Amino acid sequence: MTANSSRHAFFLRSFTTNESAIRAYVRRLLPSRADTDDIMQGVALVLWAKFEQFREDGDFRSWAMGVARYEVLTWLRDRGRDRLVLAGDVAEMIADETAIDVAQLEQQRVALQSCLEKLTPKNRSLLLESYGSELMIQEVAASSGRSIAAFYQWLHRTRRLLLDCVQHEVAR
Amino acid sequence: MPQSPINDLEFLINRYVDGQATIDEMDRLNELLRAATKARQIFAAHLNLDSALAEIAAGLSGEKAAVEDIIVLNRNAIFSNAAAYCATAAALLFAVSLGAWWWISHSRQHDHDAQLAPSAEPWTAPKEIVAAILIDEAGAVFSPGKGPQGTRFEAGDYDLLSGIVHLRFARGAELVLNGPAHWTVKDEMHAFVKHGKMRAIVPPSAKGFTISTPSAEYIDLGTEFGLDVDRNNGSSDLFVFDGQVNVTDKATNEVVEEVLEGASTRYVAGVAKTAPDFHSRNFTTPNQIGLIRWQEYARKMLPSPGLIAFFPFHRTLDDSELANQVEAKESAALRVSNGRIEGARWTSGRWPGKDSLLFDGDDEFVQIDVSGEAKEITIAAWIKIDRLDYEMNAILNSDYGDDGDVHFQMTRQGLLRGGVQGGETNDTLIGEPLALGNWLHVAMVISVPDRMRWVYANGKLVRQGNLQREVKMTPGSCRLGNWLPVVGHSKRNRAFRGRIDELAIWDRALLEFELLQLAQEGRTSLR
Repeated sequence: MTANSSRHAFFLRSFTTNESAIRAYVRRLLPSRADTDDIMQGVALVLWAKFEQFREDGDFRSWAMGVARYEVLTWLRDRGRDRLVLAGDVAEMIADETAIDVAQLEQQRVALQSCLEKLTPKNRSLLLESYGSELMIQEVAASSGRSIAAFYQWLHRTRRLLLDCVQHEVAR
Repeated sequence: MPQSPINDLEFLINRYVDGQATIDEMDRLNELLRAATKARQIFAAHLNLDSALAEIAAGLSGEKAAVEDIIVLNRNAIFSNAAAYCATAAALLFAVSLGAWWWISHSRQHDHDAQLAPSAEPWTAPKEIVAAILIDEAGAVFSPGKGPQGTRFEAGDYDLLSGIVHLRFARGAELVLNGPAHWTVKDEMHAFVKHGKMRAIVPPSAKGFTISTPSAEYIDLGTEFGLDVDRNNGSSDLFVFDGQVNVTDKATNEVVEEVLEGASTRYVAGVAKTAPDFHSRNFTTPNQIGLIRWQEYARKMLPSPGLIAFFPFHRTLDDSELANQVEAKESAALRVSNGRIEGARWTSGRWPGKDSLLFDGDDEFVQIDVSGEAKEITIAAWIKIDRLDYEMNAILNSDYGDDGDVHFQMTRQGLLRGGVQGGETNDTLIGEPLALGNWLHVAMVISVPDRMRWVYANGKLVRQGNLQREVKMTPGSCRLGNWLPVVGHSKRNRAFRGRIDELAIWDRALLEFELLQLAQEGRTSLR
């Protein structure tokens, strides 16, 4: 393996290990999952382009989050003016305060898996369908026999239940 | 509301996450997030959940999602050589080989109880020394950055744009301020009122409590008084309702006037002017705040989606009628009649001026007809329990016990329970018993499509269970505060002992934050 490909493998390893945490960090600051996908692709590009500046013994996640932070805040500033987005100062506070460690995030996700299993199969599948990109939310709502408004209410309630459950599971 | 009510926050976060937020809602969300660390933590938890659910829904583990991004990288021609493609292939292999990724490895069945946890811990303010706390409010809106931190008033400036607030200082002095008002909290015994109208109630423990204005300084000697400070010229009118207040010269601290009960004064720039006529009107009392807040709440309640009955418990000329203020709608799944009062007596409710019904006999009840069939229902009431005399104590029960009947009641231990007959609820959470002698907001929510039944006390989930069977929900003829029993039933007598002063019914399943909001809006006070 050449030095270049070795460096590339190291990048891939670091990125794949931390991608979930970085994605969650970006999502916390952006209004939609689609925006998050766009920004994440840009972040990956920038990280690779700047990877030469990264020291091998450095903290990849902190470095990557710093890059993501800059990308997101720039996006909010440039494209967020006419959109329903977090105010710049609020986004900065959240960016600074919620860079939680991966262990905690993973703990929550393990708990989430357990909590999802506690939903009825029908409700679990309905929830995940509403998060998938295959169907419009209107179609998911219709398949559940609810109006759009009632479906959003159901979503809110289910999220609250999951958050409570995750908190409970993590505290066990 | 005085900063960051958690229910409003959750509502706004959900609207934001679903791309439903309006510009006004975004402004409110930004304001709440800006104001409190805890709000930002709750926000982050919601967005983390959103992120995780999106990944699960996409069927991607973290590594697989990362590899997708890497593939995009390739598409963007960052890697143009064969080595890079080899590395990408290696990454795919790496991702697949990392079979230990969290949710793959944790996708095994968990064998512990299938129970969803109760609500998150209440949002508590840090224990810091404060000069005063918020006791109650009605429609209070502060200027940005000029309001309390939660319920805490530390030394500083406060600008109430509208509404009413009731503060209690650490030494016991109480102020009820009507907006617009601007004041400065100096410490637990001193405040400066720049302008506004307020009532002060000063117990012996706070004797010497001092309020200064642009025109004068008032030292209270253990009393109750009203103060009206003009916004334009700073003149201040004092009305002493009880006891004595000394007016002092701000420069020399000398007492320039002793004002006794039933008297009034006016000062402009330190100079006494002709006293205004004595009156006590427009100086809100602490007890009036709750009623004012409730009146606003009752007005806003009527357009609530899915509301099919709202009994505000206003005594009318016909003492035997309990009026339902919601007109029957064709589109509603259920129609609710007015109530016919049998035996229960009219008395005072949560606040002076608010009526309630007292149930104090085995044959007392209100008969209400709830006709139709519903897939979802929410029943909410404000109750004050005197005693729990029987094994079951009814809040609202369908007559008899046929399939589809709805029962909402309490056990002798004060545990709320209920459900739909024939649905067989399997409880997975049972909370604390209710306290006697306090006004409580109790609610039961049933969703047949979700096969769930939730019971709430003061907006907090206290019982949760799964309906074991699909059932048609047909409440029919019901009794408030009692039950018309099935002949020969072993728990025949279920008469409620206490007061009820509000009942509302929806033909939809209200969410927890909505119930919390109802409980907060209708509470007797914050403390």
